[in-house]
Amino acid sequence: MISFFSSTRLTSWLLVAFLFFFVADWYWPAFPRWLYLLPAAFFYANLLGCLVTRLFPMKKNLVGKVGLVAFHLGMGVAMAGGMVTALYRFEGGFEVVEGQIFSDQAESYLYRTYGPLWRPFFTDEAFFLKEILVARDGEGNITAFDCLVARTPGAEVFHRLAANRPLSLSKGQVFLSKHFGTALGFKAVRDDGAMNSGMVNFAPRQQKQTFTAPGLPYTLQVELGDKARQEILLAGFPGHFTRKQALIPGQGVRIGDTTLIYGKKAHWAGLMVVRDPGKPWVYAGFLLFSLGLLLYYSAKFTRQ
Amino acid sequence: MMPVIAQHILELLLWITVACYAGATVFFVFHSSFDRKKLAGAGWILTICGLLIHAIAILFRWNLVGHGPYRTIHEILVCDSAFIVGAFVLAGLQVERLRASGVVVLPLTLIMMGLGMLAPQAGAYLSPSLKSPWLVVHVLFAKMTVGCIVVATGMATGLLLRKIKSGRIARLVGLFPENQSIVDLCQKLFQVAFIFASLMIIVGAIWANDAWGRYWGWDPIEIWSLIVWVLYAFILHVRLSWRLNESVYAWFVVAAFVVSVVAFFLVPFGAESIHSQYFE
Repeated sequence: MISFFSSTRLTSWLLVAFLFFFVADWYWPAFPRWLYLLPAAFFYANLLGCLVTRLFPMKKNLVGKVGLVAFHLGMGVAMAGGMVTALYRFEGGFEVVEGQIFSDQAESYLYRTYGPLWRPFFTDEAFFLKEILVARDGEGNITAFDCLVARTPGAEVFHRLAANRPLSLSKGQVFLSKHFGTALGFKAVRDDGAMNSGMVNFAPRQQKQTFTAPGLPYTLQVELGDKARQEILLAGFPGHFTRKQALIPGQGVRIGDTTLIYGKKAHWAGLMVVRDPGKPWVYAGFLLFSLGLLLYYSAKFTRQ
Repeated sequence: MMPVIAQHILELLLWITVACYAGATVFFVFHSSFDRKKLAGAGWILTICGLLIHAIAILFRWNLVGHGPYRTIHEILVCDSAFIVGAFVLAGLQVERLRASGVVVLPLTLIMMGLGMLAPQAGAYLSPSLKSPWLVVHVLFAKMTVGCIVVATGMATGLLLRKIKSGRIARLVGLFPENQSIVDLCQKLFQVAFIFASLMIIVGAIWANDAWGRYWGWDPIEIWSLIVWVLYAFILHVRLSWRLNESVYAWFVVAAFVVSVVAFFLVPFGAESIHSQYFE
């Protein structure tokens, strides 16, 4: 029994099993990930068996052996952390736009967006977005993207959320992404009075974007133009709206029986809520792994 | 946009590199066929000269486009081929008989260079989340992994070609070390590749956590990096646990190379992935 669990032959077969599972995971989106627990259980038994039988006697090459053990244990710890992450991690996010104001405190914006999914983790620590703010320098460039957040229902103690100022909850973290993109607001008014509105989001530093104009069957291309005038360039595709036109906020363009009005330009950032109890274990595993490598190779070179 | 004169200089540097590698390949092949040491020496010098010019070309382009060689297929193939030759030179400096693998490694490098030079050479936009020192370290470890695997594959191919007992190919691989030495050298190269692949994954995870708020997301590229990592670990363990025939071991090495090509070159450009925005 001991020889079975302490054999590197078993290790090889387990690695083949992991290989097979990873390929299946990539190929088959509905792969049941709890299946990883099966080879993982054998892997830990094998790791323990190998360590116990190969570590002793410790007299010879102690540093090298400790390095080898730390290196393998590091992998084991990181793998355990990965499994905890796979089973208990929770993440969600959405885009928050500059100038957004949330007046409804009774029900959190997050709860409204994600419903009961959040409840197992955040019920006792609900937080409410109050206002999305940005700070600008003298030239109008955004230097910081902030969210004003209230922690509990009715509380008047606010936390200023930013990329480097996450809000720590006992079971997770809320933070803003470091980079922000641009959002353009459009309104389409038809001659019969029907009105539609929509937004076009640009990823950070993205300059061109294709979008379907609100209420119109046309696919248009919009390009960010002169920054100071907040100008944009609107272009169409052959057969539809074929012109290329520069627009400033409030200006409209006539397409068929509709006037498409460019409303305003704002910025957006991603707000993320993450809970990951496995992460510290994974990082500890990485550290142990690297330390083990260092010890193993320093012992090897010293012996040479 | 790169200035035209700079484009011409870059192209010239790459063509000189190709000429050096092609010349070195010819010398290595003649050395293998006629067993003339002087030819091997000339091939070795040409390889080192080519590598130096290759490195200058990569740094020159880096300076021109403002980002490292990890964005377009041209950059990736041209830079990876430099790392393969770099691994070959380092290995050849340590063990002289490893230089015989030049007859396999250099033609492979030339093919990669050719494919890279045929791809569009324009620079690409680097998104802010990519502007991180973690990226440089992450990519560096990935390229060093590829370098080690290709040199090991060169040796393993030599071992496999030995089965052909007569003719030019038999003479060509005649200068390779003994089978047992080849297996030992491959095992050492796989040890190094495994460590580099591990560090690539660790650094990538730290960077992903910084950029996306999570260290692992079961993205196709992440899964394939794990596949190659486990495969390298398997090859290291299989040698310890089974008394494998040398040819079977060599086939394992070639299989690892094929899987590495899929993971490092095909998946990033083919699969739908959150990483896709980083490859053009």
